[in-house]
Order: sequence, then structure tokens, then C-alpha cells
Amino acid sequence: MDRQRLALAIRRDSWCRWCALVMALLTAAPVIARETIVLQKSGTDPQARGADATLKQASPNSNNVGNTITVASATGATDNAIVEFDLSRIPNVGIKAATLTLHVTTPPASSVTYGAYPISDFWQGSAATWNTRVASTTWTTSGGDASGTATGTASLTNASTTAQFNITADVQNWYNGSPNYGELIKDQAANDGATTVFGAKAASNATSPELDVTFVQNVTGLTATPGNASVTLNWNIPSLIGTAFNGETYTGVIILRRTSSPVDKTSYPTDTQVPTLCATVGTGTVVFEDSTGKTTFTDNASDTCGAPANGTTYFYKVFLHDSSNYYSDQDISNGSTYTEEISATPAATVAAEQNTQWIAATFATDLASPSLIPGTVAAMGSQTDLVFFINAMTGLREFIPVSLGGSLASRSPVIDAASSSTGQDIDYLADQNGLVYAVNTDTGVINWVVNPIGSGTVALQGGPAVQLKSIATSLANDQVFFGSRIVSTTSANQIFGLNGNTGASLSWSPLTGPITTTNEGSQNLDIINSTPLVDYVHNVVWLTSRSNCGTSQPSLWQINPTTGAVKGIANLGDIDASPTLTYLSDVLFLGTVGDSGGGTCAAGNSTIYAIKASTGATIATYASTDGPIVSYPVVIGNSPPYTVLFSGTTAVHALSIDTSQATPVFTSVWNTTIASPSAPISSTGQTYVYVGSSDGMIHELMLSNGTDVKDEVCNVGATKGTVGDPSLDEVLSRIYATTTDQRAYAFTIPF
Amino acid sequence: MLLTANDRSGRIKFLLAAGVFMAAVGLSSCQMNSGGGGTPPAVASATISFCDPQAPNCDGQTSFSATTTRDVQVKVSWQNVPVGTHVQSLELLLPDGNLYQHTQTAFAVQTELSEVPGATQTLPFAGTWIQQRNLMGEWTARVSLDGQVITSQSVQLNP
Repeated sequence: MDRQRLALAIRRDSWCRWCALVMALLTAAPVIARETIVLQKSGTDPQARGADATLKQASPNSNNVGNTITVASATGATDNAIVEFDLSRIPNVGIKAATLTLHVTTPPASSVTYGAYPISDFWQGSAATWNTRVASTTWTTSGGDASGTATGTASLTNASTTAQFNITADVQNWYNGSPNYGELIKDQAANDGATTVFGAKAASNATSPELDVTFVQNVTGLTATPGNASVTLNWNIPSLIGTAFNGETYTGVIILRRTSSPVDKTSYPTDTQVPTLCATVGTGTVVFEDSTGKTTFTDNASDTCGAPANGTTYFYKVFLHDSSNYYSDQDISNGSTYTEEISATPAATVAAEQNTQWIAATFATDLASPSLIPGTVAAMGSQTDLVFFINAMTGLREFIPVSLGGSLASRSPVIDAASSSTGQDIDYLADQNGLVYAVNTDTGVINWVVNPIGSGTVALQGGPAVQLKSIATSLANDQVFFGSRIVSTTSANQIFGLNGNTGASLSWSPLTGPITTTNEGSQNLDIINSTPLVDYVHNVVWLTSRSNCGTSQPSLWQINPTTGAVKGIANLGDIDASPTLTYLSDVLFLGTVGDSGGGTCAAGNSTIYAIKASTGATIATYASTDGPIVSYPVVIGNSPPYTVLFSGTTAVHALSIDTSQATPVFTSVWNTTIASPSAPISSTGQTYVYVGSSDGMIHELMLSNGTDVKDEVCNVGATKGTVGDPSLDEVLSRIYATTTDQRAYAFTIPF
Repeated sequence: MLLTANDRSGRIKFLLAAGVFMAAVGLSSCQMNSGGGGTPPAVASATISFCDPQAPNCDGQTSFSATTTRDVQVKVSWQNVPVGTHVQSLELLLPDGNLYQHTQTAFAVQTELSEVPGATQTLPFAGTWIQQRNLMGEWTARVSLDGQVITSQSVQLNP
């Protein structure tokens, strides 16, 4: 070959390679990131929250779970497969790629194309059929509810050993606020006669469904320490969960800062690009960038992007990156809140400094007080059909949130293993679509889920109450109580009791209004918005309800939890708040909605009641002039006189009452104005009362006189949120609250 | 022999031209396949309305009293949705823009109708945070179809 021909050949070869490279770049963006992991049932990965099943049109009411799943397309005999993975091993990551692989055990006779579709409704593997998805609840569309568009498709032939689906977008959405109900696999063509059998989770071997995920972890141990015109951040670079990609390492972080509000979720760096220092990225400013593995940053006068000012709260969002500059976020249109963030307020004096212990994303509004195993876990719901379990110490998710069948709008009691008859740490939840759950807070596994009315849907607004066998020792198991919110009736609502270990209904459950009472005939039951209260001393469950905007039907109910007998009632007017018992269980306190009466039933000013728990008799009342009570009253004191705290529309109130007197009387002790306050929280022995506000802060009030001594900032800036009912963790001396800005915050107490 | 700047420039131009040509061919091919020369399919759209189910004539309400209303139903009506299974996502946004609630519901379109009802979502008022925490003002309902935002509608909540 002469030199000219050789040169031409080289040029042609280079040209072709260049063409191939360009075409490759045009057709597929390369995915390079730090870690990959294979999620597949095995001896080391139980996939406890994973599930799969075949939905068979030919046997539409049979549940098909076994060693295989099948996809088939034939007239009257179509099979769809549903598959869900347990992502618990990668709880705090940004997703870069995800491929679902199904392993073929019996290939199709000829070519066929299958699609993977994100399922849109909650289902249970042990219950799902062609017609139903959980209990007796049906799919909206027989054969499974899913998006109309396949996220990924896979073409198979008779020689295929796998079907691989790119479901990156779905997995990213699961990490960004959408419930994870898994994928529906179905044939793209109707009635083409093709059938393929794949291995299922139960096979627990190399044929089980496999999810290959590429991801970047978040930093851990993120803290913010305020100083005089300075904030020092510290964090840890995590060790590997999966396998390093190309030997890459986590090389550093970039930090975005925003004043007064958290950095917006749509503000994140673009993978492979390094923003310049002080550049604006969405609502954040790049105040730190490093590729040398630093784990600390002090933001002070040397910050060329603007030094922190005393008295201003700064929010920092920390993006870990690898050597190719892939970040711990999800580069998607609806943003990524799964990136670690923290805040601090510098001040000239230590007393005036503030800082969050952690901030966690909840993806939608939740204003209920977080449930706790103090010192261990904080549980909070979300109105996007999720429940979160946050490590109380670190603020990191214990595992990705548990996907439910409906929104949570109330506090869900968490029972520690030592107290629970299940022997597990358990959270009991009731959702607005009428399903009730027992969730293991250590694993996220749903132990049981039931529809308490069998078929159909009943709305559940209030949370469940739990009667513990560890206290009521005659019980066989813990028992769970809750009431319905059926707004179409003011007389026929329901009260339920379940076995806490199994979800089975108690013998008397449900009680349906009009309810036969022991001494007062048949009584209408209006909607229940509150959480019941278990009274161990008198062996009753107290429930509050609305009463059709008047006092002609009961709003306070006393139920025998063993028999379901209604031992007592009281016609106090509409009640939305949960009742509270004293430490001795001698007096019950509650507050009404305070209907204004007249032609239109409108919420008005609460009346606070003190009820003698042994008889149900009213022993004192207090007429508030501050609108309806928020959530519940709080009682301070182990014996009379008691201090009763409650919030109205504009203020927090403290009343005193000595119930040891023959005729006890409520006396106002103090009122402190707080913008749209949450329920207050305090406990006997505490110096302070804490209350959330629509001003975006938690206020610390002196219990003795109501003086607002110090406030901690959740979010007071552009996205200022209303702060919900706080919870106190007396093990860690912390307070937790959720807000309308879709986050939960933790602070040390006292402030 | 190395490529000269002119060579590279020319080939880039060629590639771009080829890309444009291929895209044009692809697009025209798609148009021919999907439309067959006829009218292109109508784009899916939606209408959102609000209703107090206890009110005698509820459709089309644009404001509600949070102290007197027990529930509000958010109704979505779909137009020109293709036959098949779809997922409706409904986001309810607070006056400050924060997300209050997000729900998704599957629905099926069996035949080509110009209008099909979507899912109705109930938003509880009485005894909820809306009433207790005075979450008043102009709320927004935003609806998506299979992940694509289609439309939004505001509604006023008053004390």
C-alpha cells in the first residue's frame, strides 16, 4: 500500500471512528458515576420490602406468587407481571442510572417487546390479583394501574436470556417524592400469543429480578456550628456501599448557600460541570468547592461571595461529587431534595447563635407532630403517600420512605420493641384512603395492611391509638383504635378496633352509628378528625367527634376496648382536637371547635373542658375567645393543680386548675401572642413551652409566665413555611417539627 | 496525514447538514406515519373544577370558607386523551407555592371520546390543618397526565 493510499485509509478509518463517536454521543449520554450496586434477592440481600406477582386475566381473583413471574398476551389469557424492589441499601443517594433486569427461564417462541411501566397504586404481593391490588380494593384498571407510557422497553427473541429495561426516570422519581409502587411489565402488543416466564423473587437465586443502580451518595454527619460572623460546616465522606466505578473516588463537595430559606430543590449543579466559586445556581450561591477531600468549611469574613452576617440564618446544601464531577443529586426537572442540608445563624454572643441539628426532606406538607422512639427514630408522614423514618441523631433516612396507599394527616404512634406485643419497633398508620398499616420502623417492612371496612373506601383523618399489652396485661396482643371521617353522614360514622399483631378486627369492630350505648340509647356518630386516647386506669378508649354542629348528639365517647360497649357519652358540641389525660388519669381535658351557631355552622371559639375520667362528668369549663383549639391540649403536673396549655388562632394560652377542689375552676395564667400557633409542647419538669408558628419559627416560651425568650428559625425567607406541632425528644434533648416547606427540622433544647 | 482545520470544519458542516437532513426525513416520516396526511391528533387537555359536596349547586365554585366547609372535591375532566391507561397526578399548592398534597390516580379511556372524567380528589377541610392553622389564600391545583403537566387552576380559601 503506498503512503497516499495508507493515509487515505487512515483518514477514512479515523473519519469512521469519529462518525461512530459522534453518533454514540448523539444517541446515548454516557453514564459515569461513583458507585453501582445490584439489588437482587440473595442470601445477603433479603429484599424484605421487595415483592412480585403475576396478574392473570384467566384467573382474575387468584394471587400468583411463586418462583416465577409470567408475561403473556393472549385473548382472555393475558398475564402482566408486577415487580417492586427494596431500595433500603441505598437510602441517601442521588440516582444516576437504573436498569431492571428480568432473567428468562422460558423464552418466548418468537420476537416480542415488553414495556416497564411505573405502577400508580399501592399493592401487596401476597394479595394482588388481576382484579384487586390490596385486600379487596380493586385496581382502577384490571390487570394493574400504571402510566400509559412505558419508561423502558425490552425486545426478546427465543434466544434471549434476559429482558433489560432502563427505568432510571422512575427510580429517580422514587427518590424525589413519588411513591415506589414498582413496575408493571406487559407486552406491547395485544393478543400476540407470546409468553415469557421469568425468575421471581421467591426463587432467591440468579434468576430473581435484578435492579442495577448507579448512584452518588450524600455526605454524612453534616453539622453547622455558628460563631461570631461565621458558620463552620463539618461532614464526612461516606464509605462505599456498592462498587466503585472505574476506580473513581469521592473527591469533594460543592456547597450552595442561601439566606433565610433552604436552597430550592431545583437548584443543583449539573453533572460533569464545575460551577465557579460565587456563581449562582438557582437560588443558591456556590460558597465552597473542593476536589481534595476536605471535610470542613468555615464560612466567614474571608468568603469572597459575601461574609455571613450576625443575626441572619444561612442554609447550606452540600453536594458530594466524584472525580468526574457527578453530584449527589438527581438532575431532573422536578429537582432533588434528597441532598443534605443544614442551617445556622451566626451571632455576636453564644446565647444568640442558632443552628439546626438536621434538616430532612418530606416532599409535601405535614404539620403533625413527629412520632418518636426517643433518641432513635423520628417518624413523619407526608401528604404524598409516604412515611419517613429519620435517624433522630443524624437526620439521615433509615431507609427510603415507605410508600402507602394514601396521605397521612395525623400523628402515627410508634411503639418500641420492648413495649410492643409484636416484639418489633412498630409504627401504626391510618391513611386518608382508608388503609391501616403496621410498619416495622427498623426495616420499613409493612407487617400488615388492612382495609377495615373490607371493601370500598373509608376516609381516616385522625391517627390510631394503641392499647399496649405490656400495660394492660390481660390483653392477648396490643390493640389499635381509630374512627372514620365519612362526611356524607353526620350519624353513621364508625369506630374500629384491630389486633395490633395481625390487623384482624376485634370482635366488636366496627361500631357503626347510630351506636347503641349502655345507658343512653342509640346515638348518632358524626365524623372523627382526632386520634383516640387509651385510658388504662379506667379501661376505656376516649374518642372525640363532631356532633352535627350542635349539642343534640354526642361528641365525646367512652368505649370499652374489650367489648366495644359505649360506657358513656357527652354532648359537648363539635370536637376536632384529641383529648389529653392527666398523669394520674383522673381528669380528661379537651377543647371544642366552638361552633358559632346560627344558620351556618362555622368554627368559632373553643370551650375547654375538664372531665372527671371516672364518671365522664364535666367538672369545669373555660370559654376561650381565640378561635378553635389546635390539635390537643397539654397538661403539666403530676398532681393537682394542673397547668393546661393550648393554642388558639392567635396565641398560646396557659390555664391553671386545681381538680382536687370540690368545685374546680380554670384560671388564666398567661397568653402569649404567636402567629397562627401550632399545638404547644412541654412536659412536667420542663422550663419551657415550645410552639411552631406561621412565621417560620419555633418559639420557646417560659412555662411560668409565657415570655417568648428565644426562637429558632426553620424557614423565614422566600419559601417561609408554617411550622407544625413539635415533638420533644428528652433522650437527645431535641425538638422536631415539620413545616409546609416540605421539610422536618431538629434543634437542640433548650434553645 | 493530519486533518486540516478546513477538513474538520467541512466535515462538521457535512455532519450537521446530514443530521438536519436525517432529522427532517425522520420527522416527515413520523408525520406521514402518524397522521397519514389527515388531521393531527388533538392534544390532551384538562379542566379542573371545585365543589363543596354539601352545597346544593356546587360545580364551578371558585372560593370556599374554611371555617364552614367540611370537604372540597377537586374534579378533573379530560379532553382528547388517547385510549388506554393513564395516570393523573394532582398537586395542591399552598398560597406560598409549597406543596400541600400530591395524589396520583390511574384511569382508563376505553373509547375515543372527546371528554372523559378523571379522578375526583377530596380535600378535607373541617378539623384539618387548613382550618386549624389558617392556611388561607389563593391555592392552586395543578394536574399532570402521565408525568406531563397539563393545566392548573386557582381557588380561594377564606376564613
